[in-house]
Amino acid sequence: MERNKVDIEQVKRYVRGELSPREMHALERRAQDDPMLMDIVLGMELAEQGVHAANLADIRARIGRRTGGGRVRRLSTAQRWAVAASVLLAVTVSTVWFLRDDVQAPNELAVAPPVADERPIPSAAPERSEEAAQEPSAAEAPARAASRGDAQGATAGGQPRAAAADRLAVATEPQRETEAADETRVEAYAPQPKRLQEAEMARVAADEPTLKAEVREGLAANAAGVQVAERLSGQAAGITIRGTSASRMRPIKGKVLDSETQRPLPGAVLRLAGDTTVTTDAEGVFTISGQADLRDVALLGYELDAVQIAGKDTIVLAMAPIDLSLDEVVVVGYGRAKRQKASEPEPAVGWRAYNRYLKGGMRQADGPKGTVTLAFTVDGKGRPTDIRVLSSTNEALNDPAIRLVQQGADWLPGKNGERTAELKMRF
Amino acid sequence: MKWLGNPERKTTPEDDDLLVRRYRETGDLSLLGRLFDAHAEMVYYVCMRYLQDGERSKDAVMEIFEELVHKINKQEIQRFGSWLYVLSKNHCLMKLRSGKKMQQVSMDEFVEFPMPVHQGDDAAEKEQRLTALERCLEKLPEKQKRSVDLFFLQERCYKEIAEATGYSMNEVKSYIQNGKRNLRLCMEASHGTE
Repeated sequence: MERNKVDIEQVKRYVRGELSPREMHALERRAQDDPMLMDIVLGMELAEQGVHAANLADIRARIGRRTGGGRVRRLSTAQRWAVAASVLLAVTVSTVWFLRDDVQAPNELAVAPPVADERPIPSAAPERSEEAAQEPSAAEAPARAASRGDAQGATAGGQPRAAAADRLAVATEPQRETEAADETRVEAYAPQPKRLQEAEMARVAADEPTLKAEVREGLAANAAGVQVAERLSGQAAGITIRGTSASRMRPIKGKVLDSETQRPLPGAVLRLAGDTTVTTDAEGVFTISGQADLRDVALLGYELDAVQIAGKDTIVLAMAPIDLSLDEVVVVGYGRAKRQKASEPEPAVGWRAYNRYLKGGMRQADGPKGTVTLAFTVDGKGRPTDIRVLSSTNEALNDPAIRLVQQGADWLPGKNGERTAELKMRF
Repeated sequence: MKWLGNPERKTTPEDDDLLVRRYRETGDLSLLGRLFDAHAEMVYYVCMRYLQDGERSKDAVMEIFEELVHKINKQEIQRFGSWLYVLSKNHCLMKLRSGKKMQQVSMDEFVEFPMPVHQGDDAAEKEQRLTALERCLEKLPEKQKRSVDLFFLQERCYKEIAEATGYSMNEVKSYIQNGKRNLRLCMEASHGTE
């Protein structure tokens, strides 16, 4: 018996009215005994077949995405990001190279060597030694630094475009710069002057080694630029040119201070791009990876006041206190919370005083011992009325107990208006 | 009963079993996708039938798929198609029950399916049941009686019944449904008294 084999094509023909009465009856009869078939028939009759077809196509697509296709989709997103990243990188590289190329021009005029002659690096070596005298680190490092300085030198020369070089800062350590000779990676952070971006990328297409050689040549000729570069390095970074990937990942340190007292603020939360957060430590110090993009700083009762760039890789975030505070909350501890069932009436003088009163009264009635449990109702004035004895181990104590309560303090009704109370008294 | 000979289906139960087994071994979601895909049409129409809305049904189908991912490794599955049908139907009914905003679908509209009536081998018992059936049939309201008679005994299709009686298609369906239920209740009652 093939009961669970539902032939949907047949149902479709049925719904379209293409079946003979015999076949229709057979299907209807079968549907009487097969809930699945019945549901399919009824479901299919609810809309046009075209609507169903569209819905089913959508469902198939969704299943595809959910199962196999999903992975492909995700990959393609990653690829899109990769494309975007490389385009950005390309634009940045070309912008910066163009800039270098541009400010290079006067030096080229001065040195005037044809490109082919510039290629051999050793030819530049003796000149570099001049710089080495000024900065006692690895020989290549000043060369790199000087490239910036060179740019500055050109600025002084009155090149309008080179003004943008003011925003350049070398943010790498000398020992890292030695690697930079092999591979130059350029990255742009934040505000680039617009007119640099519109720069003709075609002009920059020149091959890297040639340019490097050019730069080195140019730098060597203008050793004075080194100092300019050093001065620049402390300034706010517009474009940061860095060495290899090792230095790229160097973390940035920073401190969050109260702008009024200059004291460090621990516990401030820095929100970075990608929804990650970093919290300052007890000294108000934080560390973020060099790649991270700082979005926001938050600390209760403070708002961001100023951002100072201190040194090559240190940021100081000053936060000013704001006049927002929560209302004071007074928390009071109660010693005898257990006895006070919130829903029951309690003595107006409090349990402590009342117990003292009862104790005094019970001592006066010295003689017989026992326990009396009373029940009573608190009337509108707070007086206990309708006092009854619920249980007693000594009848003789009943009257003194009732009298004590009658003569005792007023009662407050319970929180929800309860007026009946029980009281156990041990004589 | 034999289903109309037209066995062109994308998967056979053997394929289903194989896919279920392979999915359980590998955990490869694409296998489950293939398996579900073959039954997606059925699931969709079932959702449609209960939820009465294309968009909701589409969402429900995907929810049922997630439920399937969740449940397939936890339950013993004899026949995947039937199992999936029950899963789908329950899902839709749960949805109807939880969604207060949904339009009310009265329970009367739902078809009730009797347990397969036990096959009485005994000829006498069968005879007895038949007479009881006739008696019960006579007790039915006229419209139900006519519809049930035409459908079950004279084997006419809904359309023919509608033409013959002048009732609308939906009336015919509900008469048959209600007549069947009344018959069953009557039969159970008479069986109980004997």
